[in-house]
Amino acid sequence: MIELDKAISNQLLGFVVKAFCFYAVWQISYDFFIHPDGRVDDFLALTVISGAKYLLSLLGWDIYSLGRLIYIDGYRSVEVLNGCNALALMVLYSGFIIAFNGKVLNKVKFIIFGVFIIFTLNIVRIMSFSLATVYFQHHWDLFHEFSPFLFFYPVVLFLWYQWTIVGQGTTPSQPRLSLR
Amino acid sequence: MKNKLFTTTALLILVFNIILAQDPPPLPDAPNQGPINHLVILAIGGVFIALKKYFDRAR
Repeated sequence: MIELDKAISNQLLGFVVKAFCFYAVWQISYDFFIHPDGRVDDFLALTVISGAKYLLSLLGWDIYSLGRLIYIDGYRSVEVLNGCNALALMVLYSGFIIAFNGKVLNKVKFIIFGVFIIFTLNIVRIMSFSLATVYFQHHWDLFHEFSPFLFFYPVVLFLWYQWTIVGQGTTPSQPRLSLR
Repeated sequence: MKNKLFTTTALLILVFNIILAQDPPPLPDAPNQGPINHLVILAIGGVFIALKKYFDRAR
């Protein structure tokens, strides 16, 4: 029993240490190299804007973009700042997958899949922000404040939960249904 | 003569291009900005998932 407790605490400690190291390395790399360079942030922001603009124009909206701004003619623009490009969220997501136990190949697959999902959701989020300027600009701040809870957090938590099951090579126990 | 005609035509095309080029409409107001907030809450959720998994495994 004591050995089991020790094993659990070791695993937990391993998770916490790995996660801490990952985020520390990320923060240092971001502050000293990635942010001053700016290309990663620019790439993410501009591709998200292009995607949102393309999809909204497909839906028939008269939409324009100017650098990091996207706007529907006659309405307020939406600016995709560094904090809006979901890079921090992608890193947070990846950090959990890396820190939690699992095979390396599975981790890589899960990270690529999750980052793609987050990127796609961010396009949908920016689209919804542009439409919000048309339909409820007065409530824009409230909508923006809670938008991560709507678009990202349920999906990321679900993916993390799946990783704790799939990443270990186990499948979730099936509920037993019986008519007797 | 030919050279002059070519230069004039090229200049005319250039000037017409500038005149006819349309800028996107002007921005009506200051932009809305939408950074992703409350990442700490998500991180806490992740820690809870990890804790649950480790303790479930212990059982």
